[in-house]
Amino acid sequence: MADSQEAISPSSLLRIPQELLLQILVLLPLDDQINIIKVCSTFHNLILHDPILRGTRYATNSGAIRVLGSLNPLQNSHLPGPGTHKVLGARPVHPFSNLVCTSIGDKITRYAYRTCYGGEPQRGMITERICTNPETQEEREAERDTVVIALTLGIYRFKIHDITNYPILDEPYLQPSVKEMTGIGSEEAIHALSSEEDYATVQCQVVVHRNLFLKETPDPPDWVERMKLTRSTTVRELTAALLKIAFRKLMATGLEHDSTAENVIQFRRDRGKTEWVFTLIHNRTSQETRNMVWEPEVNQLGEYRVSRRVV
Amino acid sequence: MSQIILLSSDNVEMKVDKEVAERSILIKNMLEDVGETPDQAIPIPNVNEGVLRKVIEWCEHHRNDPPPPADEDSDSRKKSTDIEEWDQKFMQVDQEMLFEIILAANYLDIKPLLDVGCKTVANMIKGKSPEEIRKTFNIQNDFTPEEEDQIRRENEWAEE
Repeated sequence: MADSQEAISPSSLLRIPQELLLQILVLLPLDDQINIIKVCSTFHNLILHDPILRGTRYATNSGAIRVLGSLNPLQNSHLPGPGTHKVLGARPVHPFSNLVCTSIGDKITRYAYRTCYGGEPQRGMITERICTNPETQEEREAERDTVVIALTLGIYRFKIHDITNYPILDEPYLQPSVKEMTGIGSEEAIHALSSEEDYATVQCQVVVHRNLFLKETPDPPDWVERMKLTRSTTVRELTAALLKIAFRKLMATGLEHDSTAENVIQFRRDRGKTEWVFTLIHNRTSQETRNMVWEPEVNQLGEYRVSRRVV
Repeated sequence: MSQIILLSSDNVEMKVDKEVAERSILIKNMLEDVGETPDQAIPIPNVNEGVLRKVIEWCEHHRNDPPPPADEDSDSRKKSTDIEEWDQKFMQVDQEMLFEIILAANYLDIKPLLDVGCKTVANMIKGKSPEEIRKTFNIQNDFTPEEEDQIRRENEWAEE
């Protein structure tokens, strides 16, 4: 296998023309793009700045977006809008979304992106608990940023990338190329491209959990929010804005709260639904924060708590 | 079956079935321009004998494949890194040869072979840590100290 062959010097990969390098990089999913950013400046610049590669970081035909106003032929809410950034989930039907944040109060402290080992997890899939073999250094390295998540019906293994400082969070939440948007004519596309005004909205249900299975907030429609977006609203801005809404709602309920406690934020979108569910897993005390580890504690009922792993 | 002669960059002649050579769009167009099967060897100045033999081997195996779809955007080949078994074995070569095949496929305009090469490299990258990628492809970490510091801060949390 070419993989096992000794690399020659200097790197053959970096000697091939850029257009061929792009043809290779365009095949990489988001988590591998995140990894390869850190390899060298060539990959860093290509991944972050090449428009074709940026385009691969958007899921297409998201149902969560409705385009508003005079430049929106997509008045019908059943029609799909432009794609949303894959950092929030590569597939709308994925049982978990990929962005996980921690927050203190209404401020986000860290962003992480998680990927599933061995392909997409399936609901109802039952696997044995993941046991890491500590015999080799590589496996220990892999273990350190691995998260095991258990549902009542199964246990999935995820890898965590800390992307707090990554520029991909500063990319627009919506696919920047309106030409990709279904049903928009060229004249409207030109207008939209030149406009910084609000042109879309995201509908999001805010849920606050005591832990993942103890919901503290009422069912929709009470806590459903509609946020207006501009063409340039970034993933980071959207996430921060949603946290402020969730925190304000949380405070309004009068729930016990410790301002030093670190909370966990997740997004998900249920199968067949058009709205994102923004979930704030609320730790009431700093003691609960100290107990937080990314590897969850699974109780006898198979429930879990998402927490930061202590190594 | 008519045959043509290809001349590698290191001046080695190779007799190939015209149908096989025409997997290369470059050669196909060249032959169409000439209008008849040439007696003279066709020079392939950018590809040496070893690489040209590998490319011809691939073309021989895929001589009856249907032509790739014209509309690249709708082509699912771009969305998957699945490689059929024969092609996987074909690509079990050292990195020098792998990248020479990719360059030759690009020069000769053999899109399906170029795809297989790119997918092979993408699969070598997938699932690897940055350090493993550097090691696999012998890539130097060329970030400035400031950039290094930024990257170190990005990873502090994971390394706690």
